Amino acid sequence: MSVIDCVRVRHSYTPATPVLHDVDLAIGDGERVALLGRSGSGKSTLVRAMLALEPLASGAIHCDGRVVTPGPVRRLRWFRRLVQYVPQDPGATLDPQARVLDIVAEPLRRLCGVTDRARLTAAAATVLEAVGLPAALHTVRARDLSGGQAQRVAIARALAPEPRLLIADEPISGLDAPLRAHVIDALRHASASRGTALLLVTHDVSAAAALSDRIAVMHDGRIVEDRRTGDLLAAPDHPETRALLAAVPRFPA
Amino acid sequence: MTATKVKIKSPSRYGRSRPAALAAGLSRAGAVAVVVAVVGLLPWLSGRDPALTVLRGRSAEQEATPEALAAVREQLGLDAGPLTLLGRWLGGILRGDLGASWVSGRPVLPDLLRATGVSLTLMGFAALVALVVTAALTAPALTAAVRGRQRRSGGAAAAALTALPEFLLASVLLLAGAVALRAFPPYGWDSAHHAVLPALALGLPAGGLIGMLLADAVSRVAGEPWTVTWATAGAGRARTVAALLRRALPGLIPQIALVLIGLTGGAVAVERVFAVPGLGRVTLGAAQTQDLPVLQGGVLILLALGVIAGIAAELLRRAVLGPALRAASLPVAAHTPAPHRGLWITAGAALAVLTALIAAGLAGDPYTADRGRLAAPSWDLPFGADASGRDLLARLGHGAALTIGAAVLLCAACLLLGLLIGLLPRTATGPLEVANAAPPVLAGLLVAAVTGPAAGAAAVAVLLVGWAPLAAHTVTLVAEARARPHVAILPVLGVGPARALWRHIVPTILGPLTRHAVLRVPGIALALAALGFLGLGPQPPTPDWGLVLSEGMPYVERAPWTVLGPCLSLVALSVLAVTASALRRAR
Ligand SMILES: Nc1ncnc2c1ncn2[C@@H]1O[C@H](COP(=O)(O)OP(=O)(O)OP(=O)(O)O)[C@@H](O)[C@H]1O
Ligand SMILES: [Mg+2]
Repeated sequence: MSVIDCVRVRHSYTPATPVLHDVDLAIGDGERVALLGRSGSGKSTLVRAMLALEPLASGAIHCDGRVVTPGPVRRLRWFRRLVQYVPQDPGATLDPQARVLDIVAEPLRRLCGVTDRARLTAAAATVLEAVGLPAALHTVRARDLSGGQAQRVAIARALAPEPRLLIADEPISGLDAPLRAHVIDALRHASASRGTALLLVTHDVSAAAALSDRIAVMHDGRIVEDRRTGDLLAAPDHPETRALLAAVPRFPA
Repeated sequence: MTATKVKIKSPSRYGRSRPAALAAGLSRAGAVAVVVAVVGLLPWLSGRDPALTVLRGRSAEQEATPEALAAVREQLGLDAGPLTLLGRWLGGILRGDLGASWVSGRPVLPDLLRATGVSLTLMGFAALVALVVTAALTAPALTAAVRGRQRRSGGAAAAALTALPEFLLASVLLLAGAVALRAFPPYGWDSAHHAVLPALALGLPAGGLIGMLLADAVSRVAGEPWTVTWATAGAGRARTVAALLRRALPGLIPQIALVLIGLTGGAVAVERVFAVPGLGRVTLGAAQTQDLPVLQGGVLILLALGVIAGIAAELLRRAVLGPALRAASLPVAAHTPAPHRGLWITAGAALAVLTALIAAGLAGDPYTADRGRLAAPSWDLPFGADASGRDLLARLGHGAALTIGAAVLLCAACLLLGLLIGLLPRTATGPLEVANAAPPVLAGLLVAAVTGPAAGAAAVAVLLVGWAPLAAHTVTLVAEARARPHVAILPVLGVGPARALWRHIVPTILGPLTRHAVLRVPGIALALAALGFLGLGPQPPTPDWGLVLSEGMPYVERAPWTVLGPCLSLVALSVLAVTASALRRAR
C-alpha cells in the first residue's frame, strides 16, 4: 500500500505558466524513491504540493487513503506525523537561538503529543544519535552549529515523529564529500532500521543511485521516466534521463 | 549563500489578500470616525460654556451677563445640542469650511493652511538637519560593517542628543545664537535665516534618535550571512553600504515616519519659543484661549498630516521589502554583536549620577521656601534655589520619584499595549495610524481640553499615543519573523498559529522590542515634562521635572542653574536608559 499517491497533480504559481503538468507519483511503504531533474524542473514545487503546502490547480494527493489539501495546522497533524520534510537548505530552518534538543523535541510534542520532559529529551537524543550528532552538541544553540551539523539536526527533527515517509529536498547539496556520505548514511540507516519510505529530491545521480530503489525523472513539470534504479541507470529511455546521466561519470552497475 | 530560498507557505499568505485589505480599511475608517467625532464634540465634551469664550475673546470689558451669553449662543447657533453641532461641523468640513474663529471671527481654514505651510517648511529644514546628524551617527557602524565587523552604537553623545527636549534646546539656541552671538534673528519668520535656529532645535533630537536606531539596525544586519559572502567576494564599499542600508532601513521606516510626525509636536514648543507662526503655535494658542474652532481645525490637520505620512511610509516599506517578505526569504543574523565595554562604564556613571541625585535630594525639603530667591549654587545648596527660594536639589530628588516612576510605569504599559495591539495588525491598522499621527502634545491638548490639566491627564495623554510606536515596531518585527525560514516551516512540524506566535515569534521580538521600549523611557519622561512645561500636566507645587524646568525658564538668563539641574537630570536618565538597552543582548 502506498504512503502517498499523487494523482494528475497540476499546479501553477501564475496562471500563465504552469509548473506541474498532470504528475502521477506513488510511494509505497518502505520504498526509497529518488526524484531526479535539473534546476527549475519543478521538483521543489511537487514536493510542496505533496506536503499540502501549495493548493493544486487540479488533481489530488492521497495519503493513507485520505485526500490531503492545504489547511489549518490542526486539521493536518495526522498527515504531518506520517509525512515529514527536510527542506532545501535545512540549516536555515533551524531557529538560531534554539537549542538542538528543543528543536528536535518540538515535532514530538506537537505531532505525537509527548509532553513528559524526560521522555521528550530521551527521544530527541536517540534520534540525534541515529543521525550521528555527538551528545556534546545536543545542548548547543543552532547558531553555533556547522552547516553539516545543522543539516543533520534538520534530518533528526524530521525523523523524530517516526514518519512513514521522509521527503528530503536536496539534503546533501552544498556539503563536502565526507558529510555527503554521512548524511546519505543517516538517511539509509533511518529507512533500513525503521522502514521509513524516502523521497530524495536531487540532481545528483550518484546520490540517487546510492540511496534509491526507484528513480523518477522530472522534466519541465512532467515525470518523464519512473523505473527501478538499476534498470534506469543501465538503459535510460528518455533523452532527458540520458542527458542527466551523461553529465556525471557512469555509475558502475 | 545569499538569501536562503525556502518557500514553504503559499505566497498569498504573505501578500495582502482581499479580506485583509478590507479589514485594514474598516479599521482605518473606524478609527478616523472615532477621532473626528471626539474632535467635533470637543466643545460639548469639555463641558465649558463656549459662549463665555466667545464673549471674552470679543471684548474684555463686557460683563458675562446671562443676556449677553444667550445672545452669543443664539448668534453662533450653539443652542442646538451636541449631535446637531457635530453634524453641522462635519457638513462644514465636507464643504471645506472649518467655521470662524470664536476669538477673531475670521474664517479658520485659510489661516490654518498658511500656518501649515510654515510648519511644513520648518519641518523640511529640520529633516535636513536630522539627515546630517543621522549620517554622522551611522557612519561608525557602517564603516565597521564594511570591514566585516559588527558594533554597537549607543554613544553617550547620541543619548544626550535624543534626551534634549526641543523646548530646552530651543531656549539654549535662542540664547546662544541670537542673544549672545547675535548671529541669527531671535523671532519671526521672514527669511531662511529665521529657520536656522528652530530647525536645529527640532532636527538635532530627531537625528539623534533616528541615527541611533539606524546604527543599531546596521550592526544587526552586518551579522547576516550574506555580508561575509560580499566581503570575501570583494564587493565595493559603496555597494556594500547601499546594500546594508537597504536591509536596515525598511524595518525603521515606520519609526522614521514617527519621528518626523513627532516634529509637529516638538514644533509646538519650538514655534512658541521662536514665535514662528506655524500650525503648532496656532493650535496651542487656540487651546489656551479656548478658541475651539481653531483648535478643532488645527488638531484635524495635524492628524491628517500624520496619517498621510504613516500611509506613505507603509507603502515605501512594502515597496522596498515586498518581494522578500512574500517569499519567506529574509536572511537572519546568526550572531548579535557583543556589547561594547565603554557602555558599561557610561551606564554605571549615569546610574551613579541619578542615584546620588535622588539620595541627596530626598533628604531635603522640596516644598518649603526657606532659601534666598534664586540663590546661586553653593556647598550647602548644590543646585541653587528656585525663584521662590526652594532647594532645587530637593525638588529634583523628589521629582525623580515622580517623573522616572511615572515614565517607567507608563513605558511598561505602553510596551504591553503595543505588543498586544501590534499582534493584531489588521484590526490595529487604523488606531495605530491615528495614534502614530498624534504627538503626545496633541493628545495632551485634547485630554486637557476634556478633563482639565492634571497629572493623570498627562499620563493618559502619553499612554493614548505612547503604545503606537511599539505596536508599529511589533507589526514590522512579526512580519519579518514570519518571513524567516525557521518560522515558515513550523506548520510542517505541527506547530499551530497560536504556538508559533507565542513560542517562536514573540520571544524573538521581545528583545528588540524591550530595547526599543527602554529607549523610550526618557522620551516618555520628556513627554510628561513637556506637558508639565506647557501647563497641561501636574500643577504647582508638584516638583515634577517638567514643571521645575518651566518654572526656571523665565530666569534662564539671570540664574541658569534653575534650568541646568532639571536638564542634567533628564540627560543622565536618558544616557542610562540608552546604554542599558544597548547592553541587553537580543535574547
Ligand atoms: N514562489 C514561486 N513563485 C513563482 N514561481 C516559482 C516559485 N517557486 C518556484 N517557481 C518557479 O517554478 C519553477 C520550478 O521551480 P522549483 O523550485 O520547483 O524547481 P526545482 O526543480 O526545485 O529547482 P532546483 O533544483 O533549482 O531547486 C521554476 O521555474 C521557478 O522559477
Ligand atoms: Mg528545488
